[in-house]
Amino acid sequence: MNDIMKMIRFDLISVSSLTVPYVAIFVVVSIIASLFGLTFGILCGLNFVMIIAPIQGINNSSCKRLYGMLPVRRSSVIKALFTEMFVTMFIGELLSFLCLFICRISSLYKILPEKLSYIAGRFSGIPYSRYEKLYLLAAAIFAFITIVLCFVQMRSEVKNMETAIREFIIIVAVFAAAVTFISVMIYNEKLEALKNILLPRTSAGKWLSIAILNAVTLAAAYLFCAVTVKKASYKEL
Amino acid sequence: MENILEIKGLNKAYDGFALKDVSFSLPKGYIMGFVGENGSGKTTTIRSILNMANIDSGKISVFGLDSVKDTISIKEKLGVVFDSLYLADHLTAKQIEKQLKPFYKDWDSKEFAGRLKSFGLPNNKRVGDFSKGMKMKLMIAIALSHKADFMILDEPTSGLDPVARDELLDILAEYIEDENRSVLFSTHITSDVERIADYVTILHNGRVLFTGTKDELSEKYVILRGAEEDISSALREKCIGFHGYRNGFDALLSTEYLSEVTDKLETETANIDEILVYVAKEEKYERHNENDKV
Repeated sequence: MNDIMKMIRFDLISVSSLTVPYVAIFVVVSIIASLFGLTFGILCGLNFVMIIAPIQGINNSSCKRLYGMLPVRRSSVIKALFTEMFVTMFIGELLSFLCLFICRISSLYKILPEKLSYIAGRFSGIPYSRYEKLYLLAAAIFAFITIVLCFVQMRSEVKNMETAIREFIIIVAVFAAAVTFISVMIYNEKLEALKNILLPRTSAGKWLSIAILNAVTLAAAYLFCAVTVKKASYKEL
Repeated sequence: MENILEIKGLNKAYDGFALKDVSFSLPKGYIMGFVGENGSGKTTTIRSILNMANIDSGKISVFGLDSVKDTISIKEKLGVVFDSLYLADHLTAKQIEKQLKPFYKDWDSKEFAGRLKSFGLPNNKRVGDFSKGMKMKLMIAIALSHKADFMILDEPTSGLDPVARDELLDILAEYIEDENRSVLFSTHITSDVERIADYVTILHNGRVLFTGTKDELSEKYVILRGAEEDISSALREKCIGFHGYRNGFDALLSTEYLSEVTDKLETETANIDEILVYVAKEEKYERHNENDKV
């Protein structure tokens, strides 16, 4: 077992007893909700899952004294941390896809009370080409959260947690403003070209976008990890 | 004698504090008490040995290996006990073993289980719920289970009740019995050092005030007492932490000046606490004089 795997195992044992019960509940609730066509609930639930695990990872990195005593290089500790964040978020994304898939094929919503059944039915009835946008949305949420978390992790390791939180707030605010602006422009049919890139019309185009989003996320996580290894490996513990 | 630890000319500066030219060594098979008041630099020295602090200059060797280049090999054979638990406190001893085992080639699960049993530590209780003494024992059990040949303890006895302290010191004494292992333990409870240490290093304001065997220390200083009129001004100059009061004075004196002590003055052996107190007094006195000059 190499050092990175040892560290991942180490962190997994640390956080599993704290996180696993919550994650398991949210996964079960999300899948049951999907069976009854409650898609928006699923996305909320899974986003929570995606967020909770990396936060546990960040908390865990505070055991710096222990890391300083283990016979393992600091670079391996950092690489393990970024790997954990990416993999956890990616699993979250896959779960979102699974739930969206279940939601589409299940017809259990019909046994729900009339009002709920009507809402779920309307949702399940939308054309598949429009429904696929939800996969793209889930992938975009995954990409954004992963990149931001990796950036926060990098800044907290290189500088400190306070700086990281300050920058996190700025990034989220700027991103929200940019998304709002672009959405308004697209709604007003001012940015058709950008709309076609962000929301491809064809199914293949959408899945290609999802693949590109994941590749960009992986590249960003790798880049932030490399910078952290370079700048924080020799930092005092 | 082969040294398990050698520190030569260690310098490390922080804002408002610096380790200055710290040098000492610890031979195999012995216990060294690392003594000094709070803020004297004990923990910084230990962090430097563990490569957790980046040193400005100097050289640290553990098992003959460089503490920076060979840090991984050193840590394989090094046990560390801090004053507080560094492990995830929501885990049980069993889960902690699972976590740590892959990191050490020589990890011995039977040894760990045996130590938990002999130290009276439950393996299914959260370690955060352990008493301070139990936490110390757990950290020692970990060190023993990966066959550490050198154990570093940072203030292990502070906050322990006398029974737990006694137990811990017995464990350390037993640990070095095979004569191939050594212990460096920092403390400001000097009675612990006087009880089990073979070597003593006294750190004061980031400098080594004394390093050597316990016997050498007891031979190096004496407490001098008497009436102020009976001490010559030349000898008074050589006293450390001179304290005059209504009926006389007391001070610390290096034994190299014993020949200058007249029969009217009394001398007695100084213990570590007394040495630390007089040195601190001397510094306070010098600071006071400098302020007066300013």
